[in-house]
Amino acid sequence: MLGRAADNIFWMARHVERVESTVRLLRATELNALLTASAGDGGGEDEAIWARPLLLTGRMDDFMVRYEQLSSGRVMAYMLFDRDNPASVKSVLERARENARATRHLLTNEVWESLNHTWIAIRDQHYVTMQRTAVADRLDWLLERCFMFRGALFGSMRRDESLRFANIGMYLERGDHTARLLAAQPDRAGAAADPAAQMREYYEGTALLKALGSYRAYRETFASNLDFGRIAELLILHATVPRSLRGCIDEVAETLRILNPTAESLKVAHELQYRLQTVQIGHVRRVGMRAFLLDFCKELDEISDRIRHDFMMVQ
Amino acid sequence: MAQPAFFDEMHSGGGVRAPYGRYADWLHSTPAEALQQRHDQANSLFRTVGITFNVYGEEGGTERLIPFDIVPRILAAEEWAIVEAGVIQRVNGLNAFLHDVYNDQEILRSGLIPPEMVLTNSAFRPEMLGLKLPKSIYAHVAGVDIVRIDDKTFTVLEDNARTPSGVSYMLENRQAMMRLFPDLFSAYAVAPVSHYPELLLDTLRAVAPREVDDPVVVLLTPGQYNSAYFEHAFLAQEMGIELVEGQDLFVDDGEVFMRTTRGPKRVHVIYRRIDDDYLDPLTFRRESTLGVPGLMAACRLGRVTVCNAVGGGIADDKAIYSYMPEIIRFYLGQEPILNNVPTYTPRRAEDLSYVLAHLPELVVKEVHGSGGYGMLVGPAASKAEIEAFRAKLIAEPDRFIAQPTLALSTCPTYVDAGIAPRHVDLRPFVLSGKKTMVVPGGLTRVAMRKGSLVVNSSQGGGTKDTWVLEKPHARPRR
Repeated sequence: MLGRAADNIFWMARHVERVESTVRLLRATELNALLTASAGDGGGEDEAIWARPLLLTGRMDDFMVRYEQLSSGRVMAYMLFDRDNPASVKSVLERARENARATRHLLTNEVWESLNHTWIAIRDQHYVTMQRTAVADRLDWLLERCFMFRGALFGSMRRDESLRFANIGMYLERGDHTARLLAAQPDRAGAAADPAAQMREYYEGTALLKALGSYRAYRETFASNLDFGRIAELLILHATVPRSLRGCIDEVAETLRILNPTAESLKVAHELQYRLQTVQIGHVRRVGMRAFLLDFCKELDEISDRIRHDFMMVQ
Repeated sequence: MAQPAFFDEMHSGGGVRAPYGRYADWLHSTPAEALQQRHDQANSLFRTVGITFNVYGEEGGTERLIPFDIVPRILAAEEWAIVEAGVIQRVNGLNAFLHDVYNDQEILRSGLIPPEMVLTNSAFRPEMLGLKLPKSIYAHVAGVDIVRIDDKTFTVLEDNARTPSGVSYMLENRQAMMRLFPDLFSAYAVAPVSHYPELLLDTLRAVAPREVDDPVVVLLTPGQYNSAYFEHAFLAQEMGIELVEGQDLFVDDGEVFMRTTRGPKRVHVIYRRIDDDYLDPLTFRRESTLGVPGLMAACRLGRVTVCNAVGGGIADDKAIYSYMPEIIRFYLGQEPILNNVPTYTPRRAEDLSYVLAHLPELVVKEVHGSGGYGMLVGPAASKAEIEAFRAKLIAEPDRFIAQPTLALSTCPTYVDAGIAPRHVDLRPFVLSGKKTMVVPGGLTRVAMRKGSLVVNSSQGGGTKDTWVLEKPHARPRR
C-alpha cells in the first residue's frame, strides 16, 4: 500500500484512541469530583481535580487564557466541544475523520460510516445547550461509538497492511496515554495516615482505574484493598490488561513483526518489550516511577519515528 | 388548453408515455407522506455514506450534498439504442480527430477546420505531437452531455474529453434507488449499471504500455479538498487500485513509481483526475504541487499511459464543438446520429452581429468555461446582465460561443410543493479501450429550481437515477 495511506490509517486509529482516552479521562474526572465532593466537606468543586485533564494534555495555559477559571462546566466545554482546542474530542475526532476521508477507499464502508456518523452527530454540538446529565450521556455515547469503530475495524477489515497500521497506531497511543496518566499521579510515600486522606486515596485510585477501564481487572487480580503500588504494577506489567504498557508494547511488537521482521522499528519495540518482561516493580520504584514512565513514552516516540522511515518512504 | 412549451418525459402526447406506465400508477397510488419519508431516507442515506462534493468559493473544505431526486428518469430500450449508438459514434470521432491533430493533421490540411483554431488553441498541447498512443486512444473516458427536445430528438450539448466527473453519482443513485424502492425494481426490468468500474478497469488495463503483461493502474487525484474527491476515492475502491496524489509518485529513469510501505513500485497506467496544467511542473505550470515532475517525459517515452491523454481538451473545446458533425463524416464516413445545437462563433463577424442583436434569446458560454460558471442565459437574464455580456462580447469575441436557448425536456421531480416538472439533461459515460462502450444509463442532472435550465451541481442542480428499460425478454425471467 501507499506509504501516505499507511500513515493516514495509522493516525486515524491513533486519533480515535485519543478520543476514547479523553472521554474516559473526563468520565473518571467527573466521578472523582463527585465522589470526593460527597466524601469531603461538600463545599464546592475541587479545582485540583478539574485541572488534571488539562495538565495531562498540556492545555492548562491555553485554557486559563480563554476560560479564566477552573470549573467542571468550563473544562468539559473546553475538552469536549471547543474546536480551538486541538486536544478537544471534537478536534481530535475531526482529524480522525480527515485521515479516514483521505484513505476512504481502503476502509470498509462499516469503518468509514461508523466514524462519519459519529462526526456528523457531534459536529454541531455545543456545551452551552447541554444539561449536566446530558453531558454524562454524551460521554457514554462517545465511548460506545469508539467501541463501534473498533468493532467495525476488526470485524470488517481484511487482515492486511491497513489493519496492521491501524493496530499499531491504536496501541502506541494507548500505551502513551496510560504511561502519562500514571506519571501524572502525585507522589505517595507510604500509606496515608489519617482516615480522611485514606478515603481520598481510595476514591482517586478508583477514578484512575476507571479512567483506564481496569477497575475490575484490579479486583480480579489482587484480592486486596486499593493500593497505588499495585495499581501501577497492574498497569505497567500485566500483559493481560488491555491498557497496560506491557499489553500495548506486546501488540505493537507482534504487529510490526508480521509487517516486516527486519524493520528498525521492530528492534526498538523488542528492546522495550524485553525491558517490560523482565523488570521488577521494585526496580521501577527505585529508579523512580515517573522517570521510568516518561522514558517509556520517549521510546514509543522513537518507534513511531522509525515506522515512518521503515514504511512510509520518509527521507 | 395551452400546448405545454416543453417535452415532458412522463406526460406528453396527451397521456402517460409508455416507459412510465407502471411508474405513474405506482406514483399516483403512493400517499404524499410515503414519498416524503423516502425522500428523507434518501437524504440521510447519502449523508452517512458521505457522498458529498466540495464547493469552490465557499469556506475551505465545505462539503455539500448534491440534491438527489427520488423520481427516476426512464428511457425505453429503443430510445436508449439511439443515444448509445450516437455517443459511441461521437467518441470514436473525437478519438480519431485527436489522433489526427497530434499526428498527420489531415483534417487541417483538408481545410475543413481552420488550422489556427486548433494550433493556437490553449488546449492544444504541442508536447503530444508525434506520439503513438496505445490503440491511438486519447479520450478513454468521455462524458457526452445530451438534452432531449422532443419524442425523437436527442441533441448533444457538449462533449467532455478531459476529466469528466459524475459517474459515481450514477452508481450511488442506483444503489440508493434499489434500497428505497425495491418494489419498483421487481416490477421493472431496469438495465444494470453497477459493473461500470469493472469496465473502466478493463479499459485502463487495455491501454497499458505494450511490453507490460500485468499492468499496475492507479488513480491520480488532486487530493481530498477537490470537488470530486468522493468520486476519486469511490472509483479507486471499486476498482481495487491505489488512490495516489502527486507526492506519492516519482519518476526515475523515465519510469513512474509510487512510494509504498514496501518501497518503490512501478506504475504503468495513470487514470488522472488532474487537469493538464497541473500534471507535471517541469512541462506545464511550474508552481503546481499536485503533479509529478517528469511525468510528461515518461509519457513521451511510452513507459506510462496517462488517461485521458494530455491535450484531449482540444476535442471538447466549445469552438471545435460546432465542427463535430464534419469531424464524424470526415473520419468515420457516417452521418451523425445525434444532432448538434446550432452554434454561433462570435469570432466570425456575421455571427457576432447576429448574437449581439439576439442576446435575450441566446445562451452565451465561455469557450473554456465549465461547470455553468460565467454563462449568460438570455431569457432568464436581467437587462443589466445582458448589457454586461454585450460589452464582454465586443471586447473579446473569441472567448465566447452562443447557442439558441434549448427547450430541454422536463421530468417529474419531487420538490417542496409535491411532484412537478423540472428540466433535465443526460450524461452517459463512454469508455474507449479494447472497444468503445457505454453502460446503459448515465447521470441525469436536474435543475431543481422552477423554470431553470442550468443543471450543473455547482449551480444548485440535482441528480436522478436513470433507468434504461430492457427489451421485453432481453433477460430471462427468474
